[in-house]
Amino acid sequence: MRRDDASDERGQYDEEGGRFPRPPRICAFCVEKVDEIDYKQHETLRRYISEHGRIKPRRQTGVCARHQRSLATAVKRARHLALLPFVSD
Amino acid sequence: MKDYEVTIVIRPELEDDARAQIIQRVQNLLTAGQGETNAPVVHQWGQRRLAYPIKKFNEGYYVLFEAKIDPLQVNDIERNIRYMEPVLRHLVVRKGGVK
Repeated sequence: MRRDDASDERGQYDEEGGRFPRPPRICAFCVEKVDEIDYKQHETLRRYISEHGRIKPRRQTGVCARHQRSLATAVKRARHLALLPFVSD
Repeated sequence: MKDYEVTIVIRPELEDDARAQIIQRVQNLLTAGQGETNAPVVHQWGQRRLAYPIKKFNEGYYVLFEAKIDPLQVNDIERNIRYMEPVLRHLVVRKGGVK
């Protein structure tokens, strides 16, 4: 897979073997205190799918584990209703 | 009785009254066996472009229902919706946190 997410490779070791300071990861859905991610907000969900229509991994989205699961369900529901594509190029 | 959301996508080329009839039928299904007080709320999103073609259609008419349904009836309701030929897609989900 193409790696255009170099900026998201956090916590790598530098030459001295020490760690880079890791920027805090903030989950956008936790900030908004979203309980369950809504499949109807497909415009928001677009941000979390790649240009080919695949769900972006957590390391790219910065979403917490709980919301990433909820996000995946929401994307799949939106796809079923043809609000989001299964594939696109 | 639990809160549910039912979304359906209807064929785009349907006449207004034929579409209204389908919406009414779904509404009746959702209302069956409950008082007038918790009649389903209907949101018509109207005609929208589909993200991918379904049965050669590029557009669909979206309608969302919010209803209180007895969980035991969900299967029957879904089967009935599935038999409605002009409904291209349907989705029935429980509303509020998945716990």
